Amino acid sequence: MDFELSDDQEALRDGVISVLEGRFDSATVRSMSGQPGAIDRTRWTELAETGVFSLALPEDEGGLGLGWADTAIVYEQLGRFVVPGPLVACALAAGLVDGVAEGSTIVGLIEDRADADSQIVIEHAAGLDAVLVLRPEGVDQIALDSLDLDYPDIPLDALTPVGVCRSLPAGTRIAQGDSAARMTTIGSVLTAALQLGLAAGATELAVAYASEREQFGKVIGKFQAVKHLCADMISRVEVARAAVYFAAVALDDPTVGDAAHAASVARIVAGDAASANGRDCIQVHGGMGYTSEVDAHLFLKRAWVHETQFGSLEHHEESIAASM
Amino acid sequence: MNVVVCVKQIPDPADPGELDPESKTLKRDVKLILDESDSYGVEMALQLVDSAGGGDVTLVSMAPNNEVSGLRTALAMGAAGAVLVSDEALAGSDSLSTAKVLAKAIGRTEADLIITATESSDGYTGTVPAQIAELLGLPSVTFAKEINISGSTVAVKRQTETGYLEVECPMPCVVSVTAGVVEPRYPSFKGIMAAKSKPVDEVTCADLGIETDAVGWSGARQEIIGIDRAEEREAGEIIEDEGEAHERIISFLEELKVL
Repeated sequence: MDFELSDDQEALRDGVISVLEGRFDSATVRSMSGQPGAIDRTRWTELAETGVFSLALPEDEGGLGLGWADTAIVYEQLGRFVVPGPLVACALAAGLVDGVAEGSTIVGLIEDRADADSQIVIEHAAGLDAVLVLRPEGVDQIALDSLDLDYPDIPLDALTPVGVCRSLPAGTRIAQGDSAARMTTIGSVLTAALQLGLAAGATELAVAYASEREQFGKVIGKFQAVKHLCADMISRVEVARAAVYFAAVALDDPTVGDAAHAASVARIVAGDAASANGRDCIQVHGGMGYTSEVDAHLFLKRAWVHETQFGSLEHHEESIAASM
Repeated sequence: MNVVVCVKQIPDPADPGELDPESKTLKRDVKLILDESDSYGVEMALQLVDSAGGGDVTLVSMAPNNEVSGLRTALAMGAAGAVLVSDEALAGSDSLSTAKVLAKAIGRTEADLIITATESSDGYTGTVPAQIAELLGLPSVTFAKEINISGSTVAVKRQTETGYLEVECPMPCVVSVTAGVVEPRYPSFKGIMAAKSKPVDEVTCADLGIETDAVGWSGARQEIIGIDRAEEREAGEIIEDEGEAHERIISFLEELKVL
């Protein structure tokens, strides 16, 4: 399968990169940890106005009528710039909840699974207007003020603060079971695209440092131990990109393959790439890599956050095993 | 109100360019982008048209090949269309030839106002805006930091070393804007997709009635006779404070005319 981007897709990718370079540089992203739910509403609206959440929405509903493959290309870049917020939730909710495509309403999303423990975690809760609950029988919308939320002081990822509660009200049904299943698969693929972007961003950060930092009279990238780390990182990125793009194409065209199966493959491969590259990025930075000042931890922590979304690694492995 | 914006497509400054040792000019056989200094003019034009409640922004550009990638960026921002003068004979054009070509191209439009950047980021002659105005027989206002339209008059705050001048002139006129005066918008995805289908009127020198030997290398009245590396920046001056450092700092700022 040819995964070369078309001219239009390159234009979309370059377009979102220009917005992210201008509005979501590292210092700006870091500063968002001080916003409720780590969401900067002004910049969120700018993302929405760019069209990030409405790429796959039909044109007669105000979207661009493009596919999930195009959306995945954009989401890869959002991951690369470690943009915080319920990005996947809003892509799924655009068209279902008023104002999400335009950025005036921000929704989070949780899965109400039978195997979930008693504590329900809602990412970015303090910055949300509503929460969507994905249940096997349908998608329910719950107003945020109907939840009895606690906010842990120290989240794992400062850019993904959470609210926790013990129970969920029924909410208002906004989509039925088949839509919920489809949304879970799409959410999984877009999360994999974010993971792919994280893996790529961590690689770029590591390579830039290895090309600049000198030790024993030469840049550390010339030492085999560092060179091999970087080579492994880019290898993981390329494999993950193929898996993610294939899954995104399968979402648009079922004749290409089973989208749910492809989504599980993408999650496993891209999830591994994000976590492993996050660790290796810290390794390449040496002692500096453990400090808050270096961005390496942003990539690793976000990778860990994504590992919990739309099914764990084990869930996707079991899913693939069951299909064999 | 219809506004024409002259824009230039240049090699990406983020990618270190190369000079052609023979022509002593920048190699342009790479993907060209919209000159960032032109994005301010495009943004200002879009805002003026919005304020006027109607009209179009039209781009005018020239290139030796039929490169449009930089134009697409400005079209994605919201410009309605473009006139691109594309002719191999244009390679090597000096600033006066450039102004002649652009002036002819502007003549194909119905412009109430012509906006340019103060200078391009790859040529830096800074003479083209005034040359276009002269060739078109229009008033020229340079270094605009703010433009306001009232009826058929344009009021401009014109940046100077010590502040700004308030000047007015009748339209149509040519106004060059300084960089950084407005924040250029980022093209939306809708804008990017729509830009593909916006009209780019591609014309040649012959279409404009320009003799090819009057432009390009053959028509250039200026010649680049040598290229030298820019001098290394000198080290800063370190002032040891023995109680009088503030006086030296003040006099330094006065030398720069900051104070």
